[in-house]
Parts: sequence; C-alpha cells; structure tokens
Amino acid sequence: MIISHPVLGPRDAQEFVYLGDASLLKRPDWQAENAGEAFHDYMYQRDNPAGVHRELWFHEQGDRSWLVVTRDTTTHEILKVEMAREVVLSGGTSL
Amino acid sequence: MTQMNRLPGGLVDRSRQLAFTFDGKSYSGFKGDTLASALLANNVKLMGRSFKYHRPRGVLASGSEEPNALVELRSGARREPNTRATVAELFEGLSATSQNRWPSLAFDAMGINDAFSTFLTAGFYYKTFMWPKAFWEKVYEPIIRRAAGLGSVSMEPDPDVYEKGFLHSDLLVIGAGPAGLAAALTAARTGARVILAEEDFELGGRLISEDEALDDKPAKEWLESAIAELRNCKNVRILSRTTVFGAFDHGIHGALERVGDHLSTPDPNLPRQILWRIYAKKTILCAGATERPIAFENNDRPGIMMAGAMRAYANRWSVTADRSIAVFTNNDDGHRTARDLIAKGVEVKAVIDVRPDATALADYPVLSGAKVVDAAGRLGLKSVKVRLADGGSRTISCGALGVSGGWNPAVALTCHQRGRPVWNDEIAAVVPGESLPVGMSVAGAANGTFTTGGALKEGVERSVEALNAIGVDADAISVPAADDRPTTLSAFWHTGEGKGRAWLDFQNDVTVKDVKLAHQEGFLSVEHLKRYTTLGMATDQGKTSNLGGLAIMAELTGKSIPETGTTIFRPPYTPVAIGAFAGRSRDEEFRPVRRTPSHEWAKEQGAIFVETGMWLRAQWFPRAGETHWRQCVDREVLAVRSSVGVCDVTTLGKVDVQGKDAAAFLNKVYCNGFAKLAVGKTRYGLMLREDGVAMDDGTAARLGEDHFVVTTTTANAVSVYRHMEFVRQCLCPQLDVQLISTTEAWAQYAVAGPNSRKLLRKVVDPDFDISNEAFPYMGCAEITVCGGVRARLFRISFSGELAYEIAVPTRYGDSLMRVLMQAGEEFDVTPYGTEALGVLRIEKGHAAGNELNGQTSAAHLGMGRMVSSKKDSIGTVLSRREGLSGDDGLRLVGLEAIDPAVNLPAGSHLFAENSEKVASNDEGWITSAAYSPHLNKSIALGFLQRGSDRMGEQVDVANPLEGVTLKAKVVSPHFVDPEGERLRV
Amino acid sequence: MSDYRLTATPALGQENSAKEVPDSFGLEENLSLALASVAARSTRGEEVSAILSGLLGGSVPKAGTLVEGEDHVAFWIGPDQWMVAASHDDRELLASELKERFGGTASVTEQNDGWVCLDVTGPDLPTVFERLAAADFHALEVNSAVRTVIEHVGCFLLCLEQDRHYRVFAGRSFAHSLHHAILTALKSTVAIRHAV
Repeated sequence: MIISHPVLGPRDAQEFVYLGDASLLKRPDWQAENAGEAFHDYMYQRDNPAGVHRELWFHEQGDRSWLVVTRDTTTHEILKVEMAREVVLSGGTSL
Repeated sequence: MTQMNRLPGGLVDRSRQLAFTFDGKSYSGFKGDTLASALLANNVKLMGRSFKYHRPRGVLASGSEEPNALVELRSGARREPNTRATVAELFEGLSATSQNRWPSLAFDAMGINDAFSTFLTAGFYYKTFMWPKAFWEKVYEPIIRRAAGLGSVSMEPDPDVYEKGFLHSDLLVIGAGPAGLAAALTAARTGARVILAEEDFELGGRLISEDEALDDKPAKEWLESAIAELRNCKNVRILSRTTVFGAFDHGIHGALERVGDHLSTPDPNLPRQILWRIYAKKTILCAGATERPIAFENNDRPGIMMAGAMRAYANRWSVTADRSIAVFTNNDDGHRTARDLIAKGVEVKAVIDVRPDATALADYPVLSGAKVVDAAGRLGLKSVKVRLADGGSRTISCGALGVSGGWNPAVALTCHQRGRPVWNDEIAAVVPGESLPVGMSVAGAANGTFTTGGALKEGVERSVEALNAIGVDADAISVPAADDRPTTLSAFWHTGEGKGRAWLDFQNDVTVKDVKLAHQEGFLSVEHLKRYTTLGMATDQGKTSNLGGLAIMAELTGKSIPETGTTIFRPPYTPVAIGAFAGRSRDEEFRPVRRTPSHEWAKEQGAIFVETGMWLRAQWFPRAGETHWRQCVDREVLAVRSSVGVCDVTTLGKVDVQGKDAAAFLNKVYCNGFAKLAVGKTRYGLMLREDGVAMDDGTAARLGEDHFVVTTTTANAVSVYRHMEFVRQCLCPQLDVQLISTTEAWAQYAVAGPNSRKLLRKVVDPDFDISNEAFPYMGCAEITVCGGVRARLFRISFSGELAYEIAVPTRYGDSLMRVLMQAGEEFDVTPYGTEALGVLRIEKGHAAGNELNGQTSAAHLGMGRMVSSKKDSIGTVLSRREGLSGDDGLRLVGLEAIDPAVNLPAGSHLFAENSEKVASNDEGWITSAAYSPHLNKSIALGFLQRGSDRMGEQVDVANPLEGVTLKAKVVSPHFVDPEGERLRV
Repeated sequence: MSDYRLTATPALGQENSAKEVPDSFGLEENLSLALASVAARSTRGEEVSAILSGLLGGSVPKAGTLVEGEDHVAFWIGPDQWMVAASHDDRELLASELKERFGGTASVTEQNDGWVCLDVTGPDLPTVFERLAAADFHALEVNSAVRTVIEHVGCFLLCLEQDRHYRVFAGRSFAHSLHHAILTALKSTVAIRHAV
C-alpha cells in the first residue's frame, strides 16, 4: 500500500508500523469513578469494521510521526491521512 | 544431420551457432533460439513426461504459458527443475535434462501409471487411500510423491545471487507487443516517466511471430524504429526479460528481471535475477492473449501444439516441428498457420476446420465441418483421425498438428485485486471486468482486441487517458495502418468422440472425463471443480486449460459459461524462485550486523560472540587453558565480585529526553515517579503497557532540570522508543518534550567490582571527584576522561557490586576499552561477556527479558509498591486488576537446587513437593537459571504462586521435555548482598 | 590529569576499506563531520526557524531537503526537527555551541558519533541505489535529504550532486553492513552494465 504522508507525500506502507484502531487516542480519565471499566473498554473493546476504519500508523523509517489513516479495510483505499498529534490537539478524538 | 527442421528467414542469428545438450546428447542451435525452438530444429519432439500418467509430451506453446516442456536446466548446484523450454534462452554449453522419467525419456517405467489411469482419475486421493489410515504416511504418500511430480532440486545451496530493486514511474506498460509499444511511444513523447516491461528477450510481442505488414511494409521496419525511439528516450526504461508477476495495492507491482539466466558463465558479481518493486501511478496491461487447445482423444501426443505457436516457431525462429503438418481450428487464425508454413516450404496436409463454411487462405486442402477425433504416435505424432462433415472418417498422416481453439486474453493481472473477468460472446472468452486494480487499464489482445490495428489504436487511447488522468498533457500519436479484419470463430471445446482420454490441463493431467466425473459426483461449482480435479492448479495456473474445463462443465449442466462462473488468477503470473524473494538476505547477509565499539578489540582477545537481535556481543573471553565455557564464565563472574570487570553495554537503548515537561513525560511512561529526581541522580524505572503488564525497564539519569537520558533493554530499544513517541504525540501532545535516540552516539562500558572506583580514578580527569561522598550510589555526571574527552558517568549496578557505567563518544570507545585494560592491569581487570553479565544479575535477582516476558506485572516482579497511585501513568489503572496485583498471584523468587551438582533448567515448571505433575497443579515456572560460582551451586529465578510466603519451602522442578524432576528450595531472589551494602561503599 | 589518552577510531575501523571499490566509483567514510539534532520546544517553532535561518544564511530546510550555509549544513529529520552538521575539527562541541545559540527555544542533542557517514560518488548513482532502497533516486534533486532503508538499515541520504554524489548516514553500529551493501551494489552495477 501507499500512504500519503501529510508532510512527506506518498510513502510505501513498508516504512510504517501498524498499531490499530485510532480510538486509542481517546484515553480515559484515570481519576474517573469508573476508571477501571473505562480503561478496560479502551484497551479491549474495539470495532473491527469491514469498511472505513481509522487506524494508527507510525512512520518508523521516516520522520517518526504517528499518523491517523482512514482506510477502507475491504478495498485498502486510503481516504485520509492526518498527523495524530494534530488530531489530538484539535480535539478530534471523538472517533 | 543437424537442425533438419530449420527453415529459411526468422530472427535467429545464423552466424552464432551454439552447442547444447539435452539428456546428454549434443545438438546445435543459434543465438536467438529458445531451448524449445532449438530442440524442434533438431527434430526433437519428445521433451518430457506428464505429471501423473507419465505420458510422453512435446512442446505445446511458444511462450511462458507452456505446460508440457518442463526440463531441468543446467547441472550441479545451478540445476533448476521445471524450467519451461519455451522461455529458456539458448546459450553456448547449455545442458538440459528431461524430468519425471526413469530410466529414460523414451522408456519410462512409471509409464505404467498410464495403464492404471482408471484409478488415478479426479479425486483419487480422497477415494483410493482411505484406509488403513496409517498407510498414508508410510506407504501411499511416498509412492505417490515418487511416481507423480515434476523435476527434482539439486539439494545444494544456490550459488547464484539475487537482488531486489525499486523503480518509480508515471506509467508502467506491461508487454511490448503492438498495444504496449503504441502506449509506451505515446507516453514517451510527453516526457512522462515510462517503464516498459516485456517478459521475452525480444520486444514486439506477436509482431515478431507473425508475417504481417504495417503501412504496407514488413512490420519489422516500424518495430525497429519504434524500439529505437524508445531506447533513445531518457524518460523510458525498457525492461526486457522481465515478467510483471503481480499487481498489488495502489499501483505497486512485482516484477522479475532475468539478468543472467541467458549467460553461460555468470559473472560472480552479476545478480542472476532482480526482483523489482515497481511503483506506478498508472498501468496499462498489454499482456496479449494465450491460445487454447481443443480436446480430443490423445490430443497430448508429442507434435501436437498450438497453431499460433507453430506459426511463431516458423516465422520467428524459422523452425518447424515437422516437414509435414496439419491444422485443426475453429477460427480464421488456424488458417494463417497453414499459409505461413506453406510459404516456408512446409507441406500442409490439411486444415481441419469445424466451421462448415471454412475456406482456404492459400493453397492447401480444407476439410470444413470436420474435426480431429484421435491421434496416433506415442513418442511423436504419426497421424490424426478426422471425422468428416459427412460422418465418414479419414486418417491423415502428419508429424505435427497445429490446434487453435481461439484465444484467451491474458487477464491474470487484472484479477490480482479480486477483479473478476467477464464473458465476451464474440470471442468466446473472458475479458477484463470493470473492477481492475487501482490505476490499471487494459489494451490490445489482453482486452479482447485481437487485431493488430485495433491493438495499436487501443494502446494509444489507453495511454492518453492514463496520462491525462495524472495531469500529463498527451496527444494521440499516429500509428501505422494494419490488419483490422476481425477474426471469426465458432466456439468449440472438445470433439466428444471416443472412449479414450482427451486432455484439458496438460500439466496436471486433467481430462474431459475427469470433469464429467466431477459433474457426476456433484462438484458443480467452478471452485469445487478446480479443487476436485486439480484443473488449473499446476504451475501454469491453467492458462491454456481453465476455460475449456468451464465450458465442458457448462455443457454438462446445461448452463451458459457465464452462469457457470469463472475462476480468478493469483500472483505470481509465472513461478518466481524463492531466492529472488530473499534477494541478498541470506546466509551471513541475512540481516545487518551491529557491532559494538569494542568489537575489534574483543575479536583480538579471541572473544566468543553471540547474536542479540542484530547486535553481535562478546559472550565470554576464553583464556589459555580453559576448555569449557563455564570455566571462562565462572572466572569472569568471580573477578567482578572480587576485583573489577569491564563489559560493553553500548547495546542498551538510549533515548535523550528534553523539554520543560521532560520529567512530567517520564512520570507518564514509567509507573514510578520521576518528578522529584534531583539533577545529577539516576533512578530505576519500570514501564508498563496500558494493560498493566510490565513492558521494559531501565534507568533515567537527570543531566539537567529539563534533560534526561533514559536507557532501555537491548531487545526492546526500538519498540520502547516507538511507544514513547506514541505517548508523546498521541496521548500528551500538550507536553513540551522532545525525544531522540542516542544509542550509538555513546560507547558505554560497565565497570563493576570492588576495585572499579580505583580503576576509574586512573582515567577520570582529576577535576572530577568520584569518591563515595561526592559521587554516591545512583549519581550521574558529565565529566571528562583521559585529558579532556567528554564522558558521562553513572553510578549504577546490574551486578550488585560497586559499579559504574562510563560513556564516551563512540569514536573513542575502542580506545577507552584498551585504556581500561591497561590501567586495570594492577587489579587484574577482567573483561566479561553477556554470559557472566547474566549470571551476575541472576545472583543479584535483577529482572531481565526472561522475567519481563509480556505476561508479568509489577506485582509479579515484586515491584508492586513501585506503581505510584498518585499520578497518571500508562498501565497503572489496569495493573490494579486482581489477576495482576492479587496477593495470591505469582511472585519472583529465587531457587536453589538441593543437589548442587545439577542444573535447574530454565523453562521448568514448579510444583508443590510430591504433587502430581499435571497442569492443574502447576504453580509457576523458572525464567532464568545459572550456576553461581559465588555460591557454588545451581540457582534460578522464577515465578511461583504466593512465592513471597513460601521462603524455605522445598518445591519440585519438573521438566518433562528433559524427563527430569528435581528438588529446589525457595529463597529470596537476591542471592548476593540482599541489603545492597556493596553498592554503596 | 589522567596518564592515559584516547584516540578516535573510524566507524569502519582502521583497515583500508577503499581497496575493493570498482574504478570510477568512490565509497569513503566521511570523518569530518560534527552533528547535533535540534528540535523546537513547544510553541517555539518560529523562533527556532529564525535562529536556524540565521545560522544557514537565510533559509530553513523544508521536509525532504537540506540547506547549506557558510559553516553549517542542516537537513530536515521530522516536524520541527533538524540535523545540523559542521566541521568536526573546528566544532567538535557543536552541540554545546548550538545549545547556547538556541537557548531555551530548542532541545539540542549531540549526535557526533551516533552515525556513520559514507560518501558515494560516481556516474549514474540512481542505477546503483535503485537496487538498494525504495526512494525515487532518478528524481532525486540536489539538496534532497530523504530517510530511507538500505538492506534493512535505516538511513538519511543526502543528494549533494545530482546522480553523482550521495551522502549516506546510518546508525554507527551498522557501518560495516552498510558499507558491504553499497560496495556489493557498486560491484553488481559494474557487472550489470557489462552484461547488457
């Protein structure tokens, strides 16, 4: 696959390391009353859609950026690529 | 009589005669020949034996789709089985051997299989060898494996080298026939970056196999000028001898270039093949078409071949399989073969055309409305039996028969992204469907456009469309006038007469009968048909056979072919050697080797090295007279405990952490606290995964208010850095912190033992006070050594002794090791390797990779109290879960063997004394074990349920793999100096 | 003062590694560079750019490029992050100098010895490197600085002269493997050119 890095342009997916569901960006509050449950869900409850999926990829052999890649898991079409840091800072973590 | 079947003309270079052997017999051919064309020139028709029935076989095709003529090419370690003679380029001294026969090709003992064919029909695996079950492995399978099968491998290491490469292009054109050349020329003139890949060693595709005119001149003239123009374009890369074997996601293609396969003696530096990864914005598939046979009884006789192949052999290679031939066809194309062979002086006995209205193209007899129903001549065709239109029959003697059942577009690559080809009634074949790989379009015969004129025009059109789509202005170029008459065809798959076998899949020996049997037994879907009969499952992926099988199934079920369905193709288009996928990554070059700064010095000392990840580290340093590794390791361990030792620990990961929030960041990634760590101090840190399991440990040294140097274990350096970046960028991007790896910037040595300070005093510049008072345990400082070289000093200890780690810029690392050895002579300083390092840390009870194995928590490690509840760090919340933190869970303990003479094998499981050794009684396991020369006994670390409450208890150590059960006493994991006094002196 | 003195060792060791390099190509370890990485502190990106620009004579390297100033060269290694190089003889303490210069605006890390630096020269280098790494070498312009992977070794590759001079940085411990990979490719390039 080719991932179009927002800064570096199209790069071979071989340069990246895959982590998984981008919902990992939305880490629960450790002090919340139900923190145990919330962290359990955060860690283990994942959607596994056949279709559009937001995922985290690390550009290990590149600029060491974590990216949020929106990809159709059935066709491998990549619809959007964002810098994860910017997604979080702009509050875009309600995935 | 040499090359008795050589005709005039052709593209072979008659001035360059090449000698070669086949089954030990010498022949000659010309430069430009393939092994198949050269064998035919020498009247060799019999080239192999079939897979299952060992039927004598000749060549069927003239290209890479060849199912029959598979040989073992070259000899010795370079021997390659299953090489298609049709694509093996002839070179001086080539030696080939037929395969799947014994004792000889003409007489094969296993030909007996043919007589027992009734038992070897479709599904025979499933039926014949049902019982007794035990016979399968011992009796049936070995026999079948010997009897069936193809060539054999040399069993020697491959002496050739392979490379991988990467190419980028705007447009990749696959196939250099008329469509491909027109597409490439169109793009070349725009300045776009073009790759033209052609699997043959000559460009031109069918243009070089046909006797055709372009602009009323021989096609050769246009072809030569087109090739010359492309070769002169800097923006065009022509890859001949290159097969694009796979179309992958987003315009990535796999291609195999055969760089040295056509050379007699390869240069040792020349890669035999290059595996290219081609990145293309757009791709045009111009792979042409494959002619398909018609099934009739004994249609696999040597000498029966595709009519198009027969024509290619005559026109391009100027050879004929025989001086007297016939043609069997259902379309106009078969008549071209007759016309061209007559023009070359070959006698055409008849063209047998199933169409009642067929007429001749030249002066030869036509039997219209007739069909071939049988063939005679076991080792070479002698005659064919024809059923005439009026129902009568005639036997025609001929040494070769050209068969044309129509052409199948080469759609394989269009299927590699799950695209399904669709049926086209006009050409009675499947053409590319709508769902093509991203960026791909198809032109020419591959698209079902079978005329030269149509192919040229379509190549131009597809090229213009593709270029425009990527923003390149492209104009349609003018192409020469060419034959535009459509070929007419009457779909015809098998003659349906006679009791004998009529072959569909030549390589896997699948016949019309097998399809009928599959139908009879209910295997109706194409996928079932394929698997039950193995139709199309050989190395040729059924290029010549799939459609025939489908058509017959359609006929039997009374459905149309599109209703019956189509199978799709998978990569690779043609077989690719595993060596090509490995590239340079084999043997010593399997992966890169990382050398430590003291590597050269250690080598001089005769060190034994061990691979740890990519690093090569000294494992121990043998001295004269030592005959067993344990002697070396025991000596090294005792030296550290009694005086001083030095070990290269550069391989530990080092991450530079800076920023106003550096301490807050470390608070986040480590479960224990770092905010209050003073500048000039180092602290042990434990990292958890978010699920609460221990991930890695190391130290963080605070060099400044906003500057830390963090170490990771050697094995986890890369993944821990990745994790830290994840936390930084994804979980707390608001923190002001910057990370960068400095693992290799500093050569770092552990200097350990009671004399370590005395030794360091000799190299540390005197401005720096390293006394216990000025530089206590867990101190860190930036200092200078040896007259001003900057260095970092950490007072940390893995061994439990007074110890330091000293780091200098890596370029001084080799020198520092030599200086330490020289300065330490008075203390008998001892270099120690990873093995002694391991023993020392087991004696001290320090966890390492074996204990941090991805299953254990801080509590298991006895570090539960380190997990701070006053701050938010990764993994804290989930680490409180019962299974990870409960008092009754696993605890790290020490174990001492009751019998000091035995080793406690790592991996052994722990059981209550004398309990039954079953999984339900399992109470833990041993993670690390060593012989402690300090304690003079075998010791181990392990996890034991309720371990901290069981000190002094005796347990059973069971190792069913080694068949032993030993006794051990549970003790504190800190075998040496549990109070930590030695560290602080 | 300590009685002992340290001497520097090249990443490739003392042996002469140039002996096997085919004629017309050059493959040499470059020992003359001091290196330091500079990463902007949060919200200090603009100040860092201004200081860096001053250091380099007016511009800052954008993603995928390098900028050469009078005494310093810098290339982009990540968002708001650069590698700065200077003469090791003149500026062994480059990191300290830069720390002073950037003050609290940037995190500066000494990288002098983290890297082996190989200079590769010769005709038509893209046809050598296309069999080493996935970067698009045929389109690589002067002053490009790309991160790529050569035979499993992560590298920075700078184009100093189009098609004729590349400078490759890789982790210092990989020096021998990287040198071997490039040398092998140079030899096979000669063999391929000869075979065609």
